Amino acid sequence: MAIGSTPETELSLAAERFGDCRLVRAGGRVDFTNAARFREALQAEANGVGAGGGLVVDVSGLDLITSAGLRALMQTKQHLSGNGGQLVVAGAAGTVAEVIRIARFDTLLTMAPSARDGLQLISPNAAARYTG
Amino acid sequence: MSGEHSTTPTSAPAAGKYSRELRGVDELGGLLAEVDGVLAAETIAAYLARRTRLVLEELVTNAFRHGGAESVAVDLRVGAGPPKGSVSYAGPAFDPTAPRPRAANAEVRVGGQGLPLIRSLAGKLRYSRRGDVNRVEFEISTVDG
Repeated sequence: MAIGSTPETELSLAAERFGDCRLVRAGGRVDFTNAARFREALQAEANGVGAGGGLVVDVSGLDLITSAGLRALMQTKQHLSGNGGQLVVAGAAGTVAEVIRIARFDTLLTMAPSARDGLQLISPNAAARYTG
Repeated sequence: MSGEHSTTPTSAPAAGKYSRELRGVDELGGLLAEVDGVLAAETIAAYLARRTRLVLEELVTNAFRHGGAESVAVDLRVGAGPPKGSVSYAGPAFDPTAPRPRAANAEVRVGGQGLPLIRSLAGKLRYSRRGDVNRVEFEISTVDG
Protein backbone atom coordinates (compact mmCIF):
# COMPACT_ATOMS: atom_id res chain seq x y z
CA MET A 1 0.00 0.00 0.00
CA ALA A 2 1.43 3.37 -0.98
CA ILE A 3 1.31 6.06 1.64
CA GLY A 4 -0.12 9.23 0.11
CA SER A 5 1.55 9.98 -3.19
CA THR A 6 4.91 8.95 -1.91
CA PRO A 7 6.85 6.37 -3.93
CA GLU A 8 7.07 3.04 -2.23
CA THR A 9 10.42 1.40 -1.67
CA GLU A 10 10.87 -1.96 -3.35
CA LEU A 11 9.74 -4.83 -1.17
CA SER A 12 9.05 -8.37 -2.32
CA LEU A 13 7.02 -10.81 -0.26
CA ALA A 14 6.37 -14.48 -0.94
CA ALA A 15 4.47 -16.88 1.30
CA GLU A 16 4.54 -20.67 1.56
CA ARG A 17 2.86 -23.14 3.85
CA PHE A 18 4.58 -26.06 5.58
CA GLY A 19 2.14 -28.01 7.70
CA ASP A 20 1.08 -25.83 10.60
CA CYS A 21 3.67 -23.18 9.78
CA ARG A 22 3.73 -20.32 7.34
CA LEU A 23 6.92 -18.97 5.82
CA VAL A 24 7.16 -15.45 4.44
CA ARG A 25 10.28 -14.51 2.50
CA ALA A 26 10.94 -10.78 2.38
CA GLY A 27 13.30 -9.11 -0.07
CA GLY A 28 14.40 -5.55 -0.69
CA ARG A 29 13.83 -2.98 2.03
CA VAL A 30 11.23 -2.39 4.70
CA ASP A 31 10.89 1.26 5.58
CA PHE A 32 8.33 3.96 6.27
CA THR A 33 6.91 3.80 2.76
CA ASN A 34 6.01 0.11 2.74
CA ALA A 35 5.84 -0.96 6.40
CA ALA A 36 2.04 -0.97 6.33
CA ARG A 37 2.03 -3.42 3.41
CA PHE A 38 4.65 -5.53 5.21
CA ARG A 39 2.55 -5.61 8.40
CA GLU A 40 -0.66 -6.40 6.54
CA ALA A 41 1.01 -9.27 4.64
CA LEU A 42 2.46 -10.75 7.82
CA GLN A 43 -0.80 -10.47 9.71
CA ALA A 44 -2.72 -12.04 6.83
CA GLU A 45 -0.41 -15.05 7.07
CA ALA A 46 -0.61 -15.00 10.86
CA ASN A 47 -4.40 -15.24 10.59
CA GLY A 48 -3.91 -18.67 9.04
CA VAL A 49 -1.82 -19.94 11.93
CA GLY A 50 -3.48 -21.89 14.70
CA ALA A 51 -2.39 -22.61 18.25
CA GLY A 52 0.91 -24.49 18.26
CA GLY A 53 1.78 -23.28 14.79
CA GLY A 54 3.79 -20.31 13.77
CA LEU A 55 5.07 -17.87 11.23
CA VAL A 56 8.67 -17.69 10.06
CA VAL A 57 9.74 -14.43 8.46
CA ASP A 58 12.84 -15.02 6.37
CA VAL A 59 14.60 -11.66 6.18
CA SER A 60 17.78 -12.94 4.51
CA GLY A 61 16.69 -11.18 1.32
CA LEU A 62 16.31 -7.80 3.03
CA ASP A 63 19.15 -5.33 2.95
CA LEU A 64 17.49 -2.77 5.22
CA ILE A 65 14.76 -2.58 7.82
CA THR A 66 13.91 0.58 9.74
CA SER A 67 12.00 1.07 12.97
CA ALA A 68 8.75 1.02 10.98
CA GLY A 69 9.52 -2.54 9.92
CA LEU A 70 10.53 -3.56 13.44
CA ARG A 71 7.17 -2.32 14.69
CA ALA A 72 5.44 -4.47 12.09
CA LEU A 73 7.35 -7.53 13.31
CA MET A 74 6.49 -6.81 16.94
CA GLN A 75 2.83 -6.22 16.13
CA THR A 76 2.75 -9.51 14.25
CA LYS A 77 4.32 -11.30 17.20
CA GLN A 78 1.68 -9.88 19.51
CA HIS A 79 -1.04 -10.79 17.03
CA LEU A 80 0.24 -14.39 16.86
CA SER A 81 0.68 -14.68 20.62
CA GLY A 82 -2.98 -13.91 21.05
CA ASN A 83 -3.79 -16.99 18.98
CA GLY A 84 -1.21 -19.26 20.61
CA GLY A 85 1.17 -19.06 17.67
CA GLN A 86 4.83 -18.18 17.46
CA LEU A 87 6.87 -15.77 15.34
CA VAL A 88 10.44 -16.55 14.30
CA VAL A 89 12.65 -14.14 12.38
CA ALA A 90 15.18 -16.02 10.28
CA GLY A 91 18.30 -15.20 8.32
CA ALA A 92 19.02 -11.68 9.57
CA ALA A 93 22.39 -10.49 8.31
CA GLY A 94 24.29 -7.29 7.60
CA THR A 95 22.48 -4.03 8.33
CA VAL A 96 19.25 -5.88 9.14
CA ALA A 97 20.99 -7.86 11.88
CA GLU A 98 22.67 -4.68 13.08
CA VAL A 99 19.37 -2.79 13.32
CA ILE A 100 17.71 -5.67 15.17
CA ARG A 101 20.61 -5.84 17.61
CA ILE A 102 20.73 -2.06 18.26
CA ALA A 103 16.98 -1.99 18.89
CA ARG A 104 17.42 -5.03 21.13
CA PHE A 105 14.77 -6.87 19.17
CA ASP A 106 17.03 -9.92 19.27
CA THR A 107 15.95 -10.16 22.92
CA LEU A 108 12.27 -9.69 22.09
CA LEU A 109 11.92 -11.87 19.02
CA THR A 110 12.88 -15.49 18.46
CA MET A 111 15.74 -15.47 15.97
CA ALA A 112 16.98 -18.31 13.78
CA PRO A 113 19.93 -18.46 11.40
CA SER A 114 17.87 -19.82 8.49
CA ALA A 115 14.30 -20.47 7.41
CA ARG A 116 14.74 -24.19 7.98
CA ASP A 117 16.03 -23.56 11.50
CA GLY A 118 13.10 -21.24 12.12
CA LEU A 119 10.59 -23.86 11.04
CA GLN A 120 12.40 -26.44 13.18
CA LEU A 121 12.00 -24.22 16.24
CA ILE A 122 8.23 -24.19 15.77
CA SER A 123 7.50 -27.58 14.28
CA PRO A 124 9.86 -30.42 13.28
CA ASN A 125 7.09 -31.68 10.99
CA ALA A 126 7.04 -28.36 9.16
CA ALA A 127 10.84 -28.35 8.88
CA ALA A 128 10.74 -31.87 7.43
CA ARG A 129 8.48 -30.63 4.65
CA TYR A 130 10.74 -27.70 3.86
CA THR A 131 12.58 -28.19 0.59
CA GLY A 132 14.61 -24.98 0.69
CA MET B 1 10.10 18.40 -7.00
CA SER B 2 11.96 20.88 -4.85
CA GLY B 3 15.00 18.64 -4.30
CA GLU B 4 18.39 19.97 -5.26
CA HIS B 5 21.17 17.57 -6.09
CA SER B 6 24.53 18.66 -7.31
CA THR B 7 27.71 16.71 -7.81
CA THR B 8 31.04 17.65 -9.27
CA PRO B 9 32.37 14.96 -11.61
CA THR B 10 36.08 14.78 -10.84
CA SER B 11 38.40 11.83 -10.45
CA ALA B 12 38.54 12.36 -6.70
CA PRO B 13 35.35 11.68 -4.70
CA ALA B 14 33.30 14.82 -5.00
CA ALA B 15 30.90 16.05 -2.39
CA GLY B 16 27.32 15.41 -3.42
CA LYS B 17 25.04 18.01 -1.89
CA TYR B 18 21.36 17.55 -1.46
CA SER B 19 18.78 19.65 0.27
CA ARG B 20 15.03 19.54 0.44
CA GLU B 21 12.23 20.86 2.60
CA LEU B 22 9.39 18.49 3.37
CA ARG B 23 5.89 19.80 4.11
CA GLY B 24 4.57 16.56 5.52
CA VAL B 25 5.62 13.03 6.37
CA ASP B 26 3.91 11.80 3.20
CA GLU B 27 6.75 13.45 1.27
CA LEU B 28 9.30 11.21 2.97
CA GLY B 29 9.12 8.56 0.25
CA GLY B 30 10.11 11.15 -2.33
CA LEU B 31 13.01 12.26 -0.17
CA LEU B 32 14.23 8.71 0.28
CA ALA B 33 14.05 8.04 -3.45
CA GLU B 34 16.08 11.17 -4.13
CA VAL B 35 18.57 10.32 -1.40
CA ASP B 36 18.99 6.90 -3.02
CA GLY B 37 19.99 8.75 -6.18
CA VAL B 38 22.50 10.92 -4.34
CA LEU B 39 24.01 7.93 -2.58
CA ALA B 40 24.18 5.89 -5.78
CA ALA B 41 25.99 8.71 -7.57
CA GLU B 42 28.79 8.68 -5.03
CA THR B 43 31.27 5.94 -4.31
CA ILE B 44 30.49 5.01 -0.76
CA ALA B 45 30.19 1.67 0.93
CA ALA B 46 26.76 0.10 0.72
CA TYR B 47 26.44 -0.15 4.50
CA LEU B 48 27.06 3.60 4.83
CA ALA B 49 24.36 4.27 2.25
CA ARG B 50 21.90 2.08 4.16
CA ARG B 51 22.75 3.78 7.45
CA THR B 52 22.34 7.23 5.90
CA ARG B 53 18.92 6.35 4.56
CA LEU B 54 17.83 4.90 7.88
CA VAL B 55 19.07 7.85 9.97
CA LEU B 56 17.30 10.33 7.69
CA GLU B 57 14.05 8.35 7.82
CA GLU B 58 14.13 8.14 11.60
CA LEU B 59 15.00 11.82 12.10
CA VAL B 60 12.32 13.03 9.70
CA THR B 61 9.56 10.76 11.01
CA ASN B 62 10.41 11.75 14.58
CA ALA B 63 10.21 15.44 13.67
CA PHE B 64 6.77 15.11 12.08
CA ARG B 65 5.23 12.53 14.39
CA HIS B 66 6.68 13.48 17.75
CA GLY B 67 8.25 16.91 17.26
CA GLY B 68 5.20 18.79 16.05
CA ALA B 69 6.98 19.85 12.86
CA GLU B 70 4.97 21.38 10.05
CA SER B 71 7.97 21.33 7.76
CA VAL B 72 11.39 19.74 7.94
CA ALA B 73 14.55 20.91 6.17
CA VAL B 74 17.00 18.18 5.22
CA ASP B 75 20.59 18.67 4.10
CA LEU B 76 22.91 15.86 3.08
CA ARG B 77 26.52 15.86 1.97
CA VAL B 78 28.02 12.73 0.48
CA GLY B 79 31.52 12.40 -0.87
CA ALA B 80 34.92 12.07 0.72
CA GLY B 81 34.51 10.92 4.29
CA PRO B 82 31.38 9.67 5.96
CA PRO B 83 27.98 10.99 4.85
CA LYS B 84 26.84 13.89 6.98
CA GLY B 85 23.95 16.25 7.10
CA SER B 86 21.30 17.93 9.17
CA VAL B 87 17.59 17.94 9.87
CA SER B 88 15.94 21.15 11.09
CA TYR B 89 12.40 22.01 12.09
CA ALA B 90 10.46 24.44 14.23
CA GLY B 91 8.84 22.94 17.29
CA PRO B 92 9.25 22.31 21.01
CA ALA B 93 12.82 21.70 22.10
CA PHE B 94 13.79 18.08 21.62
CA ASP B 95 17.35 16.84 21.97
CA PRO B 96 17.74 13.35 20.48
CA THR B 97 21.23 13.08 21.97
CA ALA B 98 19.90 13.28 25.52
CA PRO B 99 19.88 9.93 27.32
CA ARG B 100 16.46 8.46 27.97
CA PRO B 101 15.44 5.50 30.06
CA ARG B 102 14.28 2.52 28.03
CA ALA B 103 10.93 0.93 28.73
CA ALA B 104 11.17 -1.43 31.66
CA ASN B 105 8.87 -3.94 30.04
CA ALA B 106 10.44 -4.22 26.62
CA GLU B 107 8.04 -7.01 25.66
CA VAL B 108 5.20 -4.57 25.18
CA ARG B 109 7.35 -1.83 23.71
CA VAL B 110 6.35 -1.54 20.07
CA GLY B 111 7.61 1.96 19.37
CA GLY B 112 10.58 3.99 20.49
CA GLN B 113 13.17 2.27 18.34
CA GLY B 114 14.12 5.28 16.25
CA LEU B 115 16.28 7.14 18.75
CA PRO B 116 18.56 4.20 19.63
CA LEU B 117 19.07 3.59 15.91
CA ILE B 118 19.87 7.25 15.25
CA ARG B 119 22.29 7.46 18.15
CA SER B 120 24.08 4.26 17.19
CA LEU B 121 24.28 4.64 13.42
CA ALA B 122 25.02 8.36 13.42
CA GLY B 123 28.36 8.07 15.13
CA LYS B 124 28.47 11.83 15.56
CA LEU B 125 25.28 13.60 16.54
CA ARG B 126 24.96 17.23 17.56
CA TYR B 127 21.85 19.06 18.66
CA SER B 128 21.40 22.82 18.68
CA ARG B 129 18.46 25.14 19.05
CA ARG B 130 18.11 28.65 17.71
CA GLY B 131 14.85 30.43 18.45
CA ASP B 132 12.17 27.76 18.06
CA VAL B 133 14.17 25.70 15.56
CA ASN B 134 15.64 22.33 16.46
CA ARG B 135 18.67 21.34 14.40
CA VAL B 136 20.23 17.90 14.48
CA GLU B 137 23.53 17.42 12.69
CA PHE B 138 24.78 13.92 12.05
CA GLU B 139 27.78 12.11 10.64
CA ILE B 140 27.27 8.46 9.81
CA SER B 141 29.37 6.01 11.76
CA THR B 142 31.98 4.17 9.72
CA VAL B 143 32.42 1.50 12.35
CA ASP B 144 31.35 -1.62 10.48
CA GLY B 145 28.63 -3.15 12.55
